[in-house]
Amino acid sequence: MNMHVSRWMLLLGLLFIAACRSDDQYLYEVNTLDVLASNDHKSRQKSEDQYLATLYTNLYQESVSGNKLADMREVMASFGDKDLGRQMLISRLLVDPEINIPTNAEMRADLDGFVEETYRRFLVREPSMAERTYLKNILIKNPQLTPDMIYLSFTLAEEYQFY
Amino acid sequence: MAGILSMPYILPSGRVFAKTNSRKANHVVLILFAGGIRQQESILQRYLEGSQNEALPGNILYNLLEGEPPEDKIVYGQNGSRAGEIPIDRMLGTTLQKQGTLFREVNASNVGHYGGLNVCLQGTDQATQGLKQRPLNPTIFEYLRRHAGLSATDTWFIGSGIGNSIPLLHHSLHPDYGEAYAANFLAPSITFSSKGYEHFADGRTYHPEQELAPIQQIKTFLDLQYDKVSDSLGGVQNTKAEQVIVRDFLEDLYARTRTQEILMPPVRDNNDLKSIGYAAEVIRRFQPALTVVNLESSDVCHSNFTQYLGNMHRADHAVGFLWNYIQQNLPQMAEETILLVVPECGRNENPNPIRDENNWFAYDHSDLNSQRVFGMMAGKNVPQNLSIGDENNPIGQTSDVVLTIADILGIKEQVAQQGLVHPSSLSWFDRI
Repeated sequence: MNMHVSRWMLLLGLLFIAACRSDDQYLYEVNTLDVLASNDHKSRQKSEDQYLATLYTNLYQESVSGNKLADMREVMASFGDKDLGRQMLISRLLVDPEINIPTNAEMRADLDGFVEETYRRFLVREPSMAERTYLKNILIKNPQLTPDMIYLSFTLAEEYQFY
Repeated sequence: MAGILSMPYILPSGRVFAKTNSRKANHVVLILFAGGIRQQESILQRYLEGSQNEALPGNILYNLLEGEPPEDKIVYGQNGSRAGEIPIDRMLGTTLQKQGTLFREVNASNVGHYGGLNVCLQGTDQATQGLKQRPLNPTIFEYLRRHAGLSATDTWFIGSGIGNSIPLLHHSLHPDYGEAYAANFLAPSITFSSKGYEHFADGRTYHPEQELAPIQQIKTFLDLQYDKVSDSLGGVQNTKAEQVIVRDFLEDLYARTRTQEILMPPVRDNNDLKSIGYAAEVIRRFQPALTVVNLESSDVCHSNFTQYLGNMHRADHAVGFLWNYIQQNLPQMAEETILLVVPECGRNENPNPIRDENNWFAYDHSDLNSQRVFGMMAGKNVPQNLSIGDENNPIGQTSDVVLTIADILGIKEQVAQQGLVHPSSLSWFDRI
């Protein structure tokens, strides 16, 4: 009888000890990373309005007004070659002093930063190593290339037509 | 009997050879006239007699048609002491009726604007055309580009505006044709408006080799990194070389519009008349094989009969100006051009209840009278001073326009063989 009681006492004692034991705390130290989309899921083509609104926002870093969007849509509709129409519209926007664009000197002072910022601004993703290298090299080899010309290439690129 | 001429072309499809029959002329200008007009006020020259119960007949289309103008209640001209009392001077010494062949009674199988325009451009009314929808069957632009090997800048569609489906009519959704064979489209009343200047003009121009080439190189690189899911961004696909020329053309027009150097008709107080000046510029610069101009201001007849008369009179002025422009400024092209004029639809026999400032009734377009239109052609190889058909003997239909243009430019058999035009369509030359 005493043996039986003692076993129960021992079991309860073990349970008490286990219940009181604190969990181990682990701390994983990782760097903060912005998660940006890759281009492989961009499968939906922007409508004309979406394209124009995104373009305006990307260049001015502010949203476009309804009236201005309607005007741009109307002018685009009046011309049949959409590719050339976009070229004309963008090259017109790119001479507006109000747009947010680095100077040529700023671009050339920090090519890595410019490439990274351009990919983020227009394609909403990080450049791959190959893309980073290509764009830096072409900028180095072509001193006549200015930020507006790079912006024109990006905004006419097929990836920019999709989201 | 026309001989057979084989001419090699590099086609947009990649084919390098297209066989065409001999051409009747090298250029066609088609005027879609002019937003729905009644036979009563046009070919029948009844002026107010056929619409407002006033015994005042007369011809207000005196560049197109033989006939004396109305003698009283002149409201269609320019303003004097009274609105519209000064008729616009004739542009042509000889009417187009005398210069060419007139089909007095033609059937327009569709009584809506966009259906009607589609019939003229597709050659069929068998596919329902919804608003804001591209044509379902190939347009004459696509037939010409595919079967005659024309480049995009060889075919132009000039719209007086961009309402509803107009900017969509320069190519169809047909899987064998479509945007690869589209015509260039321009709506000058918008492109060269203040909005056009704000968003299209004065952009930075890039040197084709030193600047545009690396821009294109970067774009190509970016495109290679992206597996696009659609080939279609819509619209005409000019080649890169054509794009440089077209852009230069537009910039030139922006500059000359600013300095008022565009040669316009003597009267230019509506969109049709302004558009025709730019159509003349397109013709001068590109000398296209096919230029289609849509005039549409007469559609005001839904609510204002007085303005309808004025705009119809102005459409006549516009046609006279353009034909005169070609004769006087482009003599080599003039010898090789055929002008076609056809309304896309007519208007009702009976009025709606709306009355205008002269207490005249307005007219919509939905009944059998709206299927009554005329057609005319003038220029190289067109019999002169010939009048065909009448009210009791209709000859021709608006769907004939496609085969007529195809006939003139040497691809009538190829178009007919596709089996997509109306089975009863004929070239107007085959109806003479």
